[in-house]
Amino acid sequence: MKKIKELFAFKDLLKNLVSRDFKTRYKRSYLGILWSLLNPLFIVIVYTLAFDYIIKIRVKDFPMFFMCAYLPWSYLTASLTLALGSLSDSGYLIKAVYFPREILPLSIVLSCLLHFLITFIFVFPILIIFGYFPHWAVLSLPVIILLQSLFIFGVCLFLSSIHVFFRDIRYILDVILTVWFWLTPIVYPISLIPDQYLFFYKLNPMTVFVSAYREVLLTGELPVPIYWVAILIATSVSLLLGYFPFLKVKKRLAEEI
Amino acid sequence: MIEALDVSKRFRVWEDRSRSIKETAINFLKGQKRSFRDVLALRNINFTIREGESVGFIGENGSGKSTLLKLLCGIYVPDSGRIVTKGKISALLELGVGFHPDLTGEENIFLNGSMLGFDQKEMRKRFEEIVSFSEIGDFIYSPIRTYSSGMWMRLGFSVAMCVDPDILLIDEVLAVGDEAFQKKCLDRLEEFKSAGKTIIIVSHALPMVQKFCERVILLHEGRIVVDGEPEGAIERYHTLLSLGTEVKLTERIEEAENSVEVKEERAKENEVKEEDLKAEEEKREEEGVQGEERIITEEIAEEHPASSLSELAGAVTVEVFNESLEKPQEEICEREENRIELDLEKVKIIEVEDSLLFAEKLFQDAFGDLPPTFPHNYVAIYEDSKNPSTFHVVGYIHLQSMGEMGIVAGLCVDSRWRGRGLGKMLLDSMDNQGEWIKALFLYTSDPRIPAKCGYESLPQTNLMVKWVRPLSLEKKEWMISVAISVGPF
Repeated sequence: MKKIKELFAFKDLLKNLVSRDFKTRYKRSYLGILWSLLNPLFIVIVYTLAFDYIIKIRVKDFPMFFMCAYLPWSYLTASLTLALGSLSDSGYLIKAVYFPREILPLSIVLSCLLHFLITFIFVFPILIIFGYFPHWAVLSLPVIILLQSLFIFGVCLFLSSIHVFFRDIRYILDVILTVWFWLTPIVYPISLIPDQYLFFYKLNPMTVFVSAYREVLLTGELPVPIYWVAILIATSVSLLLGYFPFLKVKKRLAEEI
Repeated sequence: MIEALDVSKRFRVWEDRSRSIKETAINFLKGQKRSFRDVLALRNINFTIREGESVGFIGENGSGKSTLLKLLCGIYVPDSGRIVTKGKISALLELGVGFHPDLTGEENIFLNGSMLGFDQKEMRKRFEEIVSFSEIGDFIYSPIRTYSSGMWMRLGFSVAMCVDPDILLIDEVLAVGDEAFQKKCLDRLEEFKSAGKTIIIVSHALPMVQKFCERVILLHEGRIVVDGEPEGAIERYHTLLSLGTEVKLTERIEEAENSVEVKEERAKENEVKEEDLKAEEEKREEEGVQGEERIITEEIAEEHPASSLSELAGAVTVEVFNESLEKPQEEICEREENRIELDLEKVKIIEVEDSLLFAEKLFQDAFGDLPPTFPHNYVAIYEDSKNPSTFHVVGYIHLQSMGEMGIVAGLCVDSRWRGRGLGKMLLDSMDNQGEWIKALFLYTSDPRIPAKCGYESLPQTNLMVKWVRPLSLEKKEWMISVAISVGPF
């Protein structure tokens, strides 16, 4: 509680860091923030070509199917890759001023969230073009996004704390993300997974998140309660797991980096 | 208000730092622990700074000033002790923290301001002031990568100067810009001061500190040596500098602390019966070669044979042992002003390299003429739990081989540590006791007590060299027993 209060006291710093990140990410590029829209669009096109036309995965409206899962996924990967070094690369800040150190990974998650939210500018029109009209279940989207953000924040805390001591994490992360990508039903439906593995498969929190997004955006239904439970558990576990190494690292952070 | 209660901070110095999983795994498999050494940066710091005070922290490089400042503003977390602060702190440790080259000066002002802990509203109020203070003009709307380094610094400084904290911490950043700008900054600080803000400055610029601060805290080797008037503190600082003591106190203390286990072993050894003494002695001698100090009892000490000391020079192993801890004499128990009881368990003897100047001065004070030079100087330091903010040098020991004459040892004790401020130097149980070895002298750090010397005028003795003997001729090491007692021997 005290922590949250302290975070609140530094909300302007958080805001400024997010806006710094946001403003500088595409600074001095011609298209600027448009890249946040164009990038996923290109990816959707590439994957559609590969999986819809060449490999021929039988999924209805593959571009929509893929997009609804890929965007939350890329929110995760962007946050993790950027937040990884958020503590270890900010020595100049950490050594010079005091502020709650959580702000560093948090600001990156928030900035990625902002980019994620921007993509909805084209997500909804495209969905409508393909005939998926927003259902009232879409109203639960903010909750899902919030929970996913918390989940991501936990993982970011975990990774950035570990990264202070083990710089190898950066290279391992690439591999982990690739494996994770293929273990998550992003380019294929869950129905392809054999029944006997299904339980383990669903232990992957991203499976649950991705399915929730699809339910809400494509099927127009609220995710079933067990999904909500799973999401809540995943979020709290990730926050707990993230804070544990973070609290350990925090005390000596200014000296170690 | 800032209060530091018994604050200590140690840093880890990694000897073999594994920053990769592979190395850790290998080390783990090999059963090696990650090795690091703790270095004490600050030891038992205590002070209270009231509202409206302006305090300067001075000290040599590595004395812990900046560490202390970083502890005060929360960047470091103390290992023990507590820091209590009341009021909004703004720390100026680096200029332009978090400035992003691609953002404009304006955007950076807000970013930097929020890092210093000020909200948007407050920054907006002060924006104009900051811009005019920095003398940057219209550049404020261009990305600061286009700034000259001077502009960059001025901008950073202006942000820090124009915000309105209750407590301002400044670390060596006042030397910014040209003279005019510096003067402006100083004027600004004066304004702060007269507005009743608390200001803490870390600086090597002594004249500035003397002029600006009404209180100066002198740090040395992570301790507070002086906390008081600027004049006195600065003078003391100069003496410290001129002593040129390259005492690696901190490191030594570390070593000493690391050998706590060894000491405990020794404590057990001391209980060992007499017949075991000889074996024990041999063992101790071996260990003594490693240069560790130890605490042993007098009985053991007197068992040692005396030996010829000529041609010996080199490292000295010092033994401290306690004679009269068990039955303190009544007369000594009368407490006098200034008197601090020594906890002899905590006395450590530490080597001082080349403090000739100091030794000379001591001897001049004591004997009135120039002393022989003393190549080896040891300092007895004392760790005091009741009053840790004092500098705890209890005594100094100076040793030199005088060839045929034997060994010369000079011992002096700081008056605060003893009732009467008397020191006695004595070398006995030696083959050739030099005639003048028994010289005794009084040296006190208290300027009101004049330095004295003389055998007769010694009613009580508190520190004394019991004996000196060679440990090994090859290694040219001596073992010296120093007895510390609270009463007469």
